[in-house]
Amino acid sequence: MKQENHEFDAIVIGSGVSGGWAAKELTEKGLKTLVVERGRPIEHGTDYITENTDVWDLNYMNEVPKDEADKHWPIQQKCYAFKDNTKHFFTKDSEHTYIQEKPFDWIKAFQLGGKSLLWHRQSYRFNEMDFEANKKDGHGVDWPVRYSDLAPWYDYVEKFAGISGSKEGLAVLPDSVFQKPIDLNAAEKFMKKNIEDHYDNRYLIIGRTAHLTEPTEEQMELGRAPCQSRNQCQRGCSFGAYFSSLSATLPAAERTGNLTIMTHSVVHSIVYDEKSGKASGVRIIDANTKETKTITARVIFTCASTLASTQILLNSKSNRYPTGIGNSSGVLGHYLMDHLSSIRAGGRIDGFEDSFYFGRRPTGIYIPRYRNVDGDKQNYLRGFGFQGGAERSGWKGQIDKVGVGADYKKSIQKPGGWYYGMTGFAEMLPYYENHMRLSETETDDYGIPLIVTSCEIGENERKMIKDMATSAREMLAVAGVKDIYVEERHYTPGIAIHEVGTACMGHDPRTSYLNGYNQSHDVPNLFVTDGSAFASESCVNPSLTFMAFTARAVDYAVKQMQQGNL
Amino acid sequence: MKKSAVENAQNTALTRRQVLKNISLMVGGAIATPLANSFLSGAVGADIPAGTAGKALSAAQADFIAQIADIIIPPTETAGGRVAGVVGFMDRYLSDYESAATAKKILQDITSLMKAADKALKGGFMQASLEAQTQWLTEYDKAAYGKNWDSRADYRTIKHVIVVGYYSSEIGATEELDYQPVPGPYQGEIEVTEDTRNYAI
Repeated sequence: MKQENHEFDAIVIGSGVSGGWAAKELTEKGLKTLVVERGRPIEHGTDYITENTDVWDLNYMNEVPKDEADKHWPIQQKCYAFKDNTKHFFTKDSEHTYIQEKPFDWIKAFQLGGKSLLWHRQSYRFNEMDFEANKKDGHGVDWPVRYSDLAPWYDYVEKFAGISGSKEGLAVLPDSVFQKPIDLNAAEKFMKKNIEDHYDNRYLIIGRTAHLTEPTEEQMELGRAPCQSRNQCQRGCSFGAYFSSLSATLPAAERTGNLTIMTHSVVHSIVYDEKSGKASGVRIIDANTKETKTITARVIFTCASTLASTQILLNSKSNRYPTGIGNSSGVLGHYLMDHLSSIRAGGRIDGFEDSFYFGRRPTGIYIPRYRNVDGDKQNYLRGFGFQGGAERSGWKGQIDKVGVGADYKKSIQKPGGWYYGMTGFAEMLPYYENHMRLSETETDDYGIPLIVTSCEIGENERKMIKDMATSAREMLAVAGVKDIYVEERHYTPGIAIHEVGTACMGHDPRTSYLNGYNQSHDVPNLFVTDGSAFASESCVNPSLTFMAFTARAVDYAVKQMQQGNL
Repeated sequence: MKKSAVENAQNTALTRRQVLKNISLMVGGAIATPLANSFLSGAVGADIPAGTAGKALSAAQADFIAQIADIIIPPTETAGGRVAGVVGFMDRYLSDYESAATAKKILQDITSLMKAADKALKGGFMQASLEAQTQWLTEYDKAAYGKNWDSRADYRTIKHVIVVGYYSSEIGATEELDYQPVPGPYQGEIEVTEDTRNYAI
């Protein structure tokens, strides 16, 4: 497929969940593909330098020294996964900044593999309702696809990635191609029975997660092994037991012989060729030497993550597109969304003293959306799900009490009572006003304008948060939980780390950036397949859907190339 | 299927190296992993010898912490707080982890606690018998979770760091608790027996 006038058949910007999939699909279809990664290389296995650090060799409770965290990672430290032995996978805020016109917690991992190293691996399909939502209630831009378009691609990516979960047959949470589910424990089974006996359309199931429980031949050939229940995934996993670019897609791409990776390479902009009306390549700045070069390709896949991709697109200015490549609609940057994760609830579960568990389970439970489905009607639109789990109080939960001496010591040795906790994830409506744009005055070390974020929740979200709190309290009582607490913590968009939107798909080139194949309406060889493409966000974790859209878009792009259309 | 803690404890006899080897054979290739993480091995130093100062603790403070650590978590079938290295842990916590302002306050609180102890025991705390020291600390601790709750937050913090230090230590994690570095497939329901212990991590 290589033509003389292009250095590569395809360039993929970014190497996270989306970029890794683009690289795998493009190279497996025979395209000479360049992956451009702005951060450092990381070698699967050997660079997981803290993977096997024993607990007594960690800093205090594995926390980052406070002064150091405040200086270098004031925002990243808000992430639940930010610890002393994972901090090297989080981008330093002190070295990379953006402007929060309204507060936005942007969690960043600029390195080979990106956030696919750090994600929580929760994997759920969007449902039919999710794709119809914008059309039905008029918020945002109608998705140019429906669930039936994505379903075969969910199948496809799930078989490769490896998703563990239980078949439930729920329309609100379509089943994936599953490897066997991970166990619920006794307290969770108790809650499940109580909830499912009482309510018509509520379920408590094991969380669906990108962990191997029954690796396929293909997965084992890539060197991947079953999950060992260490629940320390963010340190990196030499077993390759959870899906990441480093454990799965990049090794698959490497094996084709068609893959080239450039790291420490910051994409400044995509080059637009006025004559052909196509993107001709990317301008790259070497992160160390600051030298620039342009590399050409027949097709460009932008997979740098939601905010980073749109930053590049906005910065790709030309006479034809003074506000960013392909931005004839003016909609680039708009409809920024994140899940609302402000409601936490939980309490105590009595009994089950004779039951314990073995291993540190890498997934929790999931309560799928029950609001505004199956005839339920609320005073707000869309809905939410809950993620959580039950555990017995371990040593940490039993030390802050009266007592010194042998009896005190002995009491800490035994598992304590059961506790349950959960967090809600709610869908934010696509609001045009929620956006990102480029600063007109501030640039980074590479001369690239800083991102300005401007995102806040609206009335619909406020009503939903209220209902989440009331509903959680009622449901936990039904579930058999005692001493129930419900707390609403301060929420800043971005902290759910499910940010999507800003380069939305839609039918109409006047009101959307991409068509139904993640292809720019204006620039036919430009594809954007990460979260920036989403027209709405559902209430489920988005990464599985990044995978499905990416694989589907590559399939389309390559067919177009084979037909001579690109 | 329920396995007992004893059956699962047998799994711990498999070293990390053996587990990796077994899995590598299954997947038909070596799994590259840095078994010995040198990254942080310099971060955790040796414990503080008796009578010497640490980076944050004075010699007197270090000795006091060692003594009360051994009362709070005494030697039983497993070693106590002193041998487990609680003093070194406390010192690193104060010098490396905490903010300067908080560390300073906690050091002052340790000194205040030492003064209270010296006042209560004739001849001073460190000169008193172990029985007398234990009796004083037991009563002081009881009030700290009872009638003197508000005024003894500092003590509860000191105790917290000591006890966390114990269970984060190699002795605490591997001998007193159940240390499972590579558990294997998760089992949601196992029987609790006499031998069941809390997991270290």
